[in-house]
Amino acid sequence: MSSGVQILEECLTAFNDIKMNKKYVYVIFKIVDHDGKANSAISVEETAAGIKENDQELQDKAYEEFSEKLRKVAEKKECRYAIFDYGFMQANATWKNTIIFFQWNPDNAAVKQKMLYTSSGKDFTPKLKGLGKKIQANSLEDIAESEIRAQCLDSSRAT
Amino acid sequence: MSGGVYGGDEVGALVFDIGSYSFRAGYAGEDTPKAEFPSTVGVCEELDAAMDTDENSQISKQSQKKYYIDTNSICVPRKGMEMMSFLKEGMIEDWDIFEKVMDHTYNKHMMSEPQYHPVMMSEPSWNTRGKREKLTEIMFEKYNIPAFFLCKNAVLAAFANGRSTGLVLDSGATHTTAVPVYDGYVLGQAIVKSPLAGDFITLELRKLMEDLSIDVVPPYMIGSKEAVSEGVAPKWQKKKDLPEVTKSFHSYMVKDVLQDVAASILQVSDGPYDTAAAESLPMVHYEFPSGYNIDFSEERIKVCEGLFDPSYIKEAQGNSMLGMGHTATTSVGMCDIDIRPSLYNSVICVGGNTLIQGFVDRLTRDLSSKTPPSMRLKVITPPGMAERRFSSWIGGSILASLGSFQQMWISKQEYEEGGKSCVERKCP
Repeated sequence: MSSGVQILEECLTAFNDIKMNKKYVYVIFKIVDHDGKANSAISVEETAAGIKENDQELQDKAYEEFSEKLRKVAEKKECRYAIFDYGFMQANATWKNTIIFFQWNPDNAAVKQKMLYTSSGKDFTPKLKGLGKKIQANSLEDIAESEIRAQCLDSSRAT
Repeated sequence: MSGGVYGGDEVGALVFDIGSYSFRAGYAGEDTPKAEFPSTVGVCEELDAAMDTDENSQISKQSQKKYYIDTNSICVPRKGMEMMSFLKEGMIEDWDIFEKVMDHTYNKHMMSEPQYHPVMMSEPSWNTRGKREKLTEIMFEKYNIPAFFLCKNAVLAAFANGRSTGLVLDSGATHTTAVPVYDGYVLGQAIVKSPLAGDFITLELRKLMEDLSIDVVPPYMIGSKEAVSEGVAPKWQKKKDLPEVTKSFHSYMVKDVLQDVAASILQVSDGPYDTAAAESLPMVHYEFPSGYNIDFSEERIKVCEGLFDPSYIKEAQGNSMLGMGHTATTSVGMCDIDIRPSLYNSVICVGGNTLIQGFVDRLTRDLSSKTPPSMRLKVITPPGMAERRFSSWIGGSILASLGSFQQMWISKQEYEEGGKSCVERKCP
């Protein structure tokens, strides 16, 4: 069951820009009013310029900024979607980049927000072709960098 | 598409959530249901003209049966009134009674005509195709509603808690179920049901009352009573002119008292039952309708222990039943190994029975000893009492009120073109 929320073209463009030419390091999406209907479309809320591949320091900084933004969203008792172009050193000492999708539904968010974002997310992720990982994040621990890295390492070993 | 018909956020849709204990109904967009009444109805076999005075009752002359619906009319003692539920294992079994209940809801609670309101309804995750189609047919043909949608209650509960993947542990009146939801879809083959739930607690309480030789007198029998001091035999007068009530009516009324006892005194122990800990539990005073009053102490946790440790139930059949923790782990064990971590990471506890004090703590404890060490366990509970009892209703209420959802309904036109089987396609 999904909510019928529309996905604006700009979201897919932003995703492809990450995938093809690393234009952004992360993008945050928000459900906005569209066409005179309340909460009816997913749009791009924020982007951050891309960084050079395998620059750990810059990425750490970007991730910190990113999680800080999500924390602020949680303070407002709201939800968001986000993608992050995450790079990490694999066990075999080669660098790997993977695009992670975050379904950010903080536990303290209003029920209406949670319902809206969860039911709409089902239509959104299948449109993002080439997504590396989907993370259902409900608390700050879920988005902690150590957690994300552990999960990425886990799945890179498995494949 | 019916998207053009309804413009804004408000479409006046109705949301119905049928539970084994109560039927919840209300307008989409509101925080809590407008009406909640028992799923149990009173049925009198023969038509009796003298009883027509009760305005809450529904009369069906054709079937020569009279139905009494809603708290106010079922609690009146009547000769020959049998108490029954239209549900079996959470699914609608008796469609006649179901229609009577719907009539009652529209007439007495919504005070409106069905043709003006789209209807969003919840269903158990194991509902069968035949029943879904029949429900769709009744709603469109009999009630002539403009649009309809059917939603699995576990999915609604998970979504309302911000999860599209998780294990929904729903402990209601007649059964406890563990339903894995993955990416918004119910994994039907891994649903696990256990009969240990609210009704089991009331049954255990009844046994306890027998053991303590407390006679539970339901309020309908009591004409007058006097205050007595603690532990002294009650002094009460039986009401005069009581009609000859059926056994099912009497036990329903006794159950009602016991449910109140359960809500007032029970507590789940933190760990496996331990006599020393039980004896140090603070006493809770309870006064029965008859005026009899007594302090309860270790009984408070003894009664619930069977929920978590079925070997504690005296009867031999207890061994085949699954405790709360086991219900959850069995269900997860039946799912693909890759998704097990995400299920353990979101165990969502809903249903009225989880409101027993200490239920969630004990469940967390039991589960953490069974969760594989590599997986992280997180038990989620909606914060308030209303959210936990009505989680599916609230989910449905929000979904049905979304402006964008209006294109998702099965419209009357679609039903007329595609027939009742369109429910399988539109509401997977």
